[in-house]
Amino acid sequence: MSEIRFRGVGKHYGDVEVITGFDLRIHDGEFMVLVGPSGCAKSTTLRMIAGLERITSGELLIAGKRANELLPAERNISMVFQSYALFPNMSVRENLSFGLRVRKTDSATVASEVDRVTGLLGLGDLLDRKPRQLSGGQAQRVALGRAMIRKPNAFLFDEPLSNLDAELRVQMRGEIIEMQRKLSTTTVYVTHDQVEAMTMGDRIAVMNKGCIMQLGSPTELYRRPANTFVAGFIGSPRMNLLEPGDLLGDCDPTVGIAHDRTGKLGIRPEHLLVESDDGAVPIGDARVTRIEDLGHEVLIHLRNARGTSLTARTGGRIAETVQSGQTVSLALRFDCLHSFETATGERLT
Amino acid sequence: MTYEIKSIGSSAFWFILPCLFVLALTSLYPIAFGFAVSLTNWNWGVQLDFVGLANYVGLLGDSEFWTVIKNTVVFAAAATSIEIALGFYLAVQVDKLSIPTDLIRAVIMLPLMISGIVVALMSKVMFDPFLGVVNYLIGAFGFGPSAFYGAALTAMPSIIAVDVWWQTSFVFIIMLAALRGLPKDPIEAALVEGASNFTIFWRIKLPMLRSLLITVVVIRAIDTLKVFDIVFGTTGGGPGLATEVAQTFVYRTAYSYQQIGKAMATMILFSLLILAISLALQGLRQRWEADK
Ligand SMILES: Nc1ncnc2c1ncn2[C@@H]1O[C@H](COP(=O)(O)OP(=O)(O)OP(=O)(O)O)[C@@H](O)[C@H]1O
Ligand SMILES: [Mg+2]
Repeated sequence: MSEIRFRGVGKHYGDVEVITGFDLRIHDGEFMVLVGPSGCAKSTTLRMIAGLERITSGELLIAGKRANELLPAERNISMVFQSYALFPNMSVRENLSFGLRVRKTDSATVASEVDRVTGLLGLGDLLDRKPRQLSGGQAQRVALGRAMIRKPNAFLFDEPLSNLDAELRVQMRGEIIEMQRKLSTTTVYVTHDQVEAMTMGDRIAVMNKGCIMQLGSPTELYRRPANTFVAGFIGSPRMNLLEPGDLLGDCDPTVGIAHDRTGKLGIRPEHLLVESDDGAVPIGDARVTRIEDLGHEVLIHLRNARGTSLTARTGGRIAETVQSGQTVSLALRFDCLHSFETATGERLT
Repeated sequence: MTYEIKSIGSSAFWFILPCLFVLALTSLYPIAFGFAVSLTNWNWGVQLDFVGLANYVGLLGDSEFWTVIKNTVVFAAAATSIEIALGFYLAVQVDKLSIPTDLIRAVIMLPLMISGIVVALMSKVMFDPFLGVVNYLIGAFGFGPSAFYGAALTAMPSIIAVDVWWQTSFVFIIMLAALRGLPKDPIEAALVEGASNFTIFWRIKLPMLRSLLITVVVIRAIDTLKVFDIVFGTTGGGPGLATEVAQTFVYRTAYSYQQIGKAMATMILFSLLILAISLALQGLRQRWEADK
């Protein structure tokens, strides 16, 4: 258990700057989620914590001590690799117990720990298989088991559930959270999955091009995204980001919301109302271009008279009546509106 | 991953047939011819009588033949194991270097580009008891001069040393490429799991290289069992029978004594030996593959 702290960390591959001036403090026992588009250096960040990637500049502190020069083995960290990284010549059982065996754990403890993890992850039938005889999902579970069998200073997960089916994913999500709460081990978790990011993390760091765009609790990021990048990245389907005038031109009721006319507006799909509602301001008509019925909710894709594309999310009765090609009137609530400066993308209010 | 062809139509046989025929003609015919000659007392001239297995019986009862086989196996076993150990060791060390290794690789590869008879000639000059630089060097360290190729005790080790000098880089090149091509992920995972470099080498890298290593052993074993040029070019099999190996023995039997039948019989027996050794190593590899 230990705090992990980046102080002005930079990472170059030759001339390519992948990370610059990276500052992040992951508290002892915290579950930190890293999200961001592909190639934004999430894996690189994890690998620096694990000691697999040399840090070019700045300082990495683990439990308050400088860790830049520590060997991976000296950090006592568990990692689930994006590519599983199982040992190809060893059986599942040997893969699971490798970390304990190199630490000279007695064989009774090894056996009981293997049993525990096997039960937890449902690997019972696979213990004597070799990695090449496993499906992607099975291999991923073995990789999880290999990380969870030890009691490390920190867990690092690099998209550990990406290859599991929906049901198993929900189940494993629960297992990981439960295990983390029970052991309260510092955890850094990389994911692409919105639901994982929102439900698992104590805090989320949204990354882009090697920088942190915003750091905060899931609710904070959702309710008050600090910039257009986070606004667009967190939430699925993504927030409608509009130039003023995209709705009704000069008589656009939203114009006044932005402090100047160059501000951008953000409306979450669930705040764009297709049915009239008390206290909602009408913002004109739009044509329905496509409907996605997900069962528990309906996504309605629209295009208004100014050619602006919009997405609305509704769970209401309207879903049963609305049809593609139909024209509906839109409305929104002012208190749910986000506004961002056009030039920098920073939040205005 | 294994891909199996579930059913092959019988028509496939007819497609393979011409190919089989050519193969049979080019590789089976010479072997069959050799075997036929081994049953005669042909002397490259008019003497050509069927003698049955007399050549074989004669050889197997001849202590000279057994000395030759022993020499060949000793040479092959010693040269192969030293070359494998040294070449692999060098590859592991060079693989660890984080600097560009092209130059090192080129230098280590140089001996491989020289032909055997030239290697023999160069070593003969260097190991010469009177003119050779090697004796000069060991003299500088206070040791007396050695006859090397000229003495029964030192001739075989000298030839082994020359082969090691000549062929170690073959093992080095292949094993270095294999080490460089190993997947990075399992090694990194082992590092994170807390394994030392020693453990990673023995438990992760070596098992992944095992079957290639056996293949290299097979290649080197066959190549050293068939040694000719460096023996012929240095000791010629002497002194006495000290370094006489299968190929030089056959050469002498055929070209000096014109006993073609006996020479062919030796070749057949020797080929069976090579076959047995290759099959044994191959079997070992298959056991490991199945176990993987
Ligand atoms: N060895 C390398 N040499 C040069 N550039 C590299 C190297 N490894 C990674 N990069 C670059 O560093 C950046 C970050 O890579 P990284 O793997 O950390 O991304 P990521 O956020 O994990 O992406 P993904 O979500 O696709 O896994 C990428 O732009 C990648 O091209
Ligand atoms: Mg990644």
